[in-house]
Amino acid sequence: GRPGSGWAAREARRDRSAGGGAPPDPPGDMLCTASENLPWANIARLLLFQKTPEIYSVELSGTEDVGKTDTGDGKEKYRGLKDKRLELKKNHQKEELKKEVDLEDHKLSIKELERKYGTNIVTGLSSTQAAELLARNGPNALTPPKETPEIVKFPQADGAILCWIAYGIQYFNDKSSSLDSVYLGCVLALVVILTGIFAYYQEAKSTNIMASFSKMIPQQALVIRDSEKKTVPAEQLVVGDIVEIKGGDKIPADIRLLSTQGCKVDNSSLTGNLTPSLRTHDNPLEAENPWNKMSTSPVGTATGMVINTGDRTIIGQIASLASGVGHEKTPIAIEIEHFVHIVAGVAVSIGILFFIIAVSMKYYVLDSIIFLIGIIVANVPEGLLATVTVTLSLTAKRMAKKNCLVKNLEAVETLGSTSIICSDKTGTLTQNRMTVAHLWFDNQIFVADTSEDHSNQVFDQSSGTWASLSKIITLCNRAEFRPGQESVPIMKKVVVGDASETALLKFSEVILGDVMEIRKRNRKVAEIPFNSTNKFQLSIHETDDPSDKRFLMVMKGAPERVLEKCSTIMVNGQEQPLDDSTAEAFHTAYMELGGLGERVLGFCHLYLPADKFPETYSFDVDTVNFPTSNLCFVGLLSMIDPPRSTVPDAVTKCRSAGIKVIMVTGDHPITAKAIAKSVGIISANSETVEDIAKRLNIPVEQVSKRDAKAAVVTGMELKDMSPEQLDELLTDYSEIVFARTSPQQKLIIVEGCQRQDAVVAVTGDGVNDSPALKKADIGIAMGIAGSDAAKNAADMVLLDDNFASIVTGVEEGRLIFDNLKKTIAYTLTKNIAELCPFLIYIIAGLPLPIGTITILFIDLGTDIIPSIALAYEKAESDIMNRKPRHKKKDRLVNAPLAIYSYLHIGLMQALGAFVVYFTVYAQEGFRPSALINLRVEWEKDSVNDLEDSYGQEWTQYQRKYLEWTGYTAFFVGIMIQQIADLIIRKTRRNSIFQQGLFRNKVIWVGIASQIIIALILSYGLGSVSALNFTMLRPQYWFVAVPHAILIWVYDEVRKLFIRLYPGSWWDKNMYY
Amino acid sequence: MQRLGPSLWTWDSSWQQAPATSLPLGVQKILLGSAFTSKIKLGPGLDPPLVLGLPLQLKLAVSRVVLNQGPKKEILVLLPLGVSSLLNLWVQLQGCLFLGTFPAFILLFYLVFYGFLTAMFTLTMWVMLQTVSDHTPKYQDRLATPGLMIRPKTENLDVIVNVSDTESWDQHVQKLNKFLEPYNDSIQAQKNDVCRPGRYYEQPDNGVLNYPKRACQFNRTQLGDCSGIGDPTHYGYSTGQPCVFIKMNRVINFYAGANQSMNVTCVGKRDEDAENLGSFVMFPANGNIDLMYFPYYGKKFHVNYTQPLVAVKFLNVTPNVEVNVECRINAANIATDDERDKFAGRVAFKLRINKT
Repeated sequence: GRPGSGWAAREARRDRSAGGGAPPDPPGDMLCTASENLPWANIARLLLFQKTPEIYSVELSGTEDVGKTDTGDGKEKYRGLKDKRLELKKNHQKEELKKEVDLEDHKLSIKELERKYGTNIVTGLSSTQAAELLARNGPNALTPPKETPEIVKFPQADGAILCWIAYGIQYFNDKSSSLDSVYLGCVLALVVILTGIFAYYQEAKSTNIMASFSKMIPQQALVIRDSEKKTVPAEQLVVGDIVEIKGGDKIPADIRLLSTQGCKVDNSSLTGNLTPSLRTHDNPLEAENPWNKMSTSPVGTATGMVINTGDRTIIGQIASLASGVGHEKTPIAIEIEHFVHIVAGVAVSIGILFFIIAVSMKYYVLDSIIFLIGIIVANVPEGLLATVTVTLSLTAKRMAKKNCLVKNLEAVETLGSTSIICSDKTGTLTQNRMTVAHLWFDNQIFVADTSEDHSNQVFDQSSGTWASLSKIITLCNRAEFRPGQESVPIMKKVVVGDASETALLKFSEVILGDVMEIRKRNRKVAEIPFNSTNKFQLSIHETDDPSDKRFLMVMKGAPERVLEKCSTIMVNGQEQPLDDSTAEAFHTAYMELGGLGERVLGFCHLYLPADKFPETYSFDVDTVNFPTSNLCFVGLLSMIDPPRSTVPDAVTKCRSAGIKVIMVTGDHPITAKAIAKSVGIISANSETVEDIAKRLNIPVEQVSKRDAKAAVVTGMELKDMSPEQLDELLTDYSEIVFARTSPQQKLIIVEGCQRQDAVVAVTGDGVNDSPALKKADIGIAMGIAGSDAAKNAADMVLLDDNFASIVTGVEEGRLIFDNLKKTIAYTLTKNIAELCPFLIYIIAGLPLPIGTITILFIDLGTDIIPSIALAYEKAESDIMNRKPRHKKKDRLVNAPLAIYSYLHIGLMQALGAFVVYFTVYAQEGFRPSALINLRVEWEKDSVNDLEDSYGQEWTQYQRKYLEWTGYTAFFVGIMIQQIADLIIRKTRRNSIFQQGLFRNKVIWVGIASQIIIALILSYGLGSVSALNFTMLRPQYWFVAVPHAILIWVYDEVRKLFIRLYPGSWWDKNMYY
Repeated sequence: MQRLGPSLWTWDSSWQQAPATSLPLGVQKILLGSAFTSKIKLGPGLDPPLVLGLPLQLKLAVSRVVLNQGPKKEILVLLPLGVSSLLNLWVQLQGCLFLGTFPAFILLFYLVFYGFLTAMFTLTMWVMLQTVSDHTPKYQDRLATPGLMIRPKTENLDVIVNVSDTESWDQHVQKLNKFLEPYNDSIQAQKNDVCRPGRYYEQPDNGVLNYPKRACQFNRTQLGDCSGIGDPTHYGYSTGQPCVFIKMNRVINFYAGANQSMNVTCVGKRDEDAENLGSFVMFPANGNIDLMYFPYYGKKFHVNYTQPLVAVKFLNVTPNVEVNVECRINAANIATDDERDKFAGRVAFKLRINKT
């Protein structure tokens, strides 16, 4: 809903994560200095966050860190968006959007701006102007996407209308006609309304979970109007308003900065993996100015001019792009629709067939209509919609416990049929923090523990080199723990500093203990911070060795730059001259670590001679009055955002489940590939075309594409691909990594996958992931890192951002599909038992065996809890070892299911129920033979001396009561056999005894509920004549038991043959 | 598992030489479609069913199945090795071209399956019917109160007589003639006993089945003016003084009146009805029903039972007005105030005499 609410939630979450020791904020949230290049801005950029108490740990992702700014990247992303738009060719509105993104305002001078927007930066707009503009341009709020809830409508509604029409005609003919059809119509209408409300309630409930994320706090903006500062609701902002932003505010609209004071803005939700760009950009998304709505400004203050409001803001455009992407129907919705078509088809065709038969048998048309309604009611599983909804929400609850929050209930199943997962890397597959992975010193590469808690650092720490290296790591580092976190585990402490430094700080803290104490003992006397020209960082310290009065100069930076400054290298604690062979060893190690996709840092030090640099020496970093060459190289350290420990296992599970995992990341291809390899997205023995070329030492063009199983595709390559080429790529390679892609390109990838008839799950967190999330069959947003826009567009939210949670979700989704099959089979079965009475009634003229209201009591009474109970059934086999279902071939309701339910078990049930019915009539005096063609006399009100088989005479009411007893008997007959049906439906292939008769306790609750409801109906409500139930003699409850046992035995035989003769005719036709 | 793929489907295949462990139980022929076989002479208009343009013939035996289609012939041997061969047969036939995907064996399967279901149903029904005796129904709880009914029987329990229009009442008369025929004195005398009035005519079985049981005489002449014997007024219908006969529903082993005398009385339903109804006479006098007609032993045992009647002759009903009449039985063990069953121990009907 409101733009303001999401932000508040975000803030709330931040507070939570800060206070509760949750992992620090993800890398997407990055502060970029917004001042350097603004000609009119006050430059106050250094050490800002030390002044401000509210500061967040800043950890950068992957290799994209300070100094590796790729200016082309943002442009490319932008072009991706543009291309996408062109490709979509939606309508002129989209074209307009495209045009509007081409903001030029950040390049205009203030004078030009004032002219353009008719405003004054000192006095602001006048109130009248503002009101005018507001009226013209509308409020500064996003138009909420239109949502039309789809309610599966069964033909009951028609039934209800037909009933009322029937009554109308009856009433017209005979004013005193009974109200039966009115009751029936009301009941049917009630059923329709109730199931509708129920479904809506369930949907609303799950939506509420989402809504609870956001607190509805109206957003205010401080605006200058009529030369006065006023606080107005953000919705009332208009173009040309001059707004003031304080630290912590959310930017209320797209603004053009006029002045800042140490203000930084977090734009990451807009651009995904934002790289800090240090100059004015051609691309407004990447440029420092303007700032965009929804971005937050954590620190400082700024003044800016509103240049776009509402839907015309960049965020609004993305939002409308997202809502413009058609959300495909979920697979389960398609399945249910298919099922409804089958049921409606059967109901309507049988209904019409028998309507014609009835009419040609000279029944009154009115009666025939009532038959038609009866047939339709009998055929439609009224309770199924509610059952499916409850089943899905039960699973949703179960999944929520496993950190998958499902927004859209239907998505529960979608995950199960997923055949391709397009996963993000950062945070989803990886731990989302830089971690030291490898060390190189003493000519050796050591492996550091990259698991979540770093607990197990086993590399050799006895060498003297390590002692020096550890000292450099500790000292040459500006990152600090935020105070007041003593009780927090090291890995969870919030750090002030960039990602690499954080990694190093935590690494050294784990190994060496209290780093801050060490730093205190080695007081820093001078420092040159990192900058992109130097590419190194240097600091000079006093040493903690009281006997050593020398200063220690420590340096870290890009390895090649560091090596340039060194003349010696430390091996086993001894300084040695840096000769060609050691340089060679360095390069090998550097390349190797770089090849792993890791960011490598070089470390060196120099003890400044005490004679030249006495204790009192004053170091000046500006004039550099100390040597910065001929240092001693100590070692290399490489860092990576390591994969989560659960991910490789989860990827393997996906593999065996036939799900293709595609990595889509904005990261560098090498890093992406390294992570892909380490988590198994690219399996150990598969190679890319490039790998083969390298191995065989031939040009890439000569490699046969057939030989390669894996592919790493960059965004640049993807951009040049035609849809056909992309299709080819997706089909040819089983292991694909997309690197350097923009979030917009995700949409292209998703569409490509969907062209393969795949059910695609996509993970995403940024605002501009939302089109892809919407386009995907199931969009999965990250609960921690995700922006609200992404969460809104997604069907599911991963609360722990963990890929492994998706896999548990897949498992649940598959289970629910299987169990829904069982539920539907169970529900469909009794339809025949409910339908046959009508057919026999029409054809053979028996007194009606079961009434329409009684049928509703089965459908909505006794059968509801049992069919829900089937949702608790455990999987029969390892569902994660089979291929995902083909969405066009593996239907929820297939022919074997319908045939087996209708023509086998359903018919058995009908026969069993008829036995109970005939028993009741025979024991009361009407033998079966006497019942045939009795209908007309039986139903005549004026016949009050109808003779039975024994010559006794019955009044109309006596017969009616017997008829109700017959209803009750038939009802009980069906109920008893539905118990057997419920038990057999526990499995589709395995024997019940293999599955365990008592393992699913809910089934027994279901059976108990069935019996109890039936007992209540018969004995409790037997005296309420409107319900048509009577007290049934106890023995009649057992008449259908032989048939129930027969059902069980028959199904066991069916399953036995299926297991014995897989692939046989039996298997093909009897396994549903 | 023997598996017969489509390749074996040449008609001189080895299947013909296969050890046909045929049991000479006679070849049962199953007709598919409207008629069958080319060898047997077909009547005009009867053709074997065509499948894919060729006539198809399927012969089933216990041990083998013979399929003929045009020039092709296939004999499939059912080895009596258990179900697996049967299942395999289905597999084989799936491959057979001419059977398509809906082979006759699906029909066969359903034939067997439904045959079995029918048998099962018949069995349970048979078992159930064993619990029911021929002589009395197992339960009679619904018939605790016998209902009352009128003759002539009309569609809406209304007796409408247009005095001048013969046709309007002739149908009533015909019905009554037919209804009263068994009560003719001659027939009664011939078939039924003269019983002692005022007490039940019990015929207990006493260990030996007392069959058939005798019924007591109810002579038509007992109905006096309403007997219709030599009656030129046709039960009074031609004069606007119609007779309506009241009868009590038969209930087996019901001792109506609980050993006390009982009678039928009629009244107009509302005050104006009572006025319009005028006077009437009842036959037998007072509308008495004698105990000797009870108990009833059921149609099968009480073969010639004729239930007692009470005739009501309405003498001066106000013409051209609908009169609601209610008759009820006054008996010790028959409640006539059931809210739901409007015919328990009573009967309400409409009477209208149209005179011009």
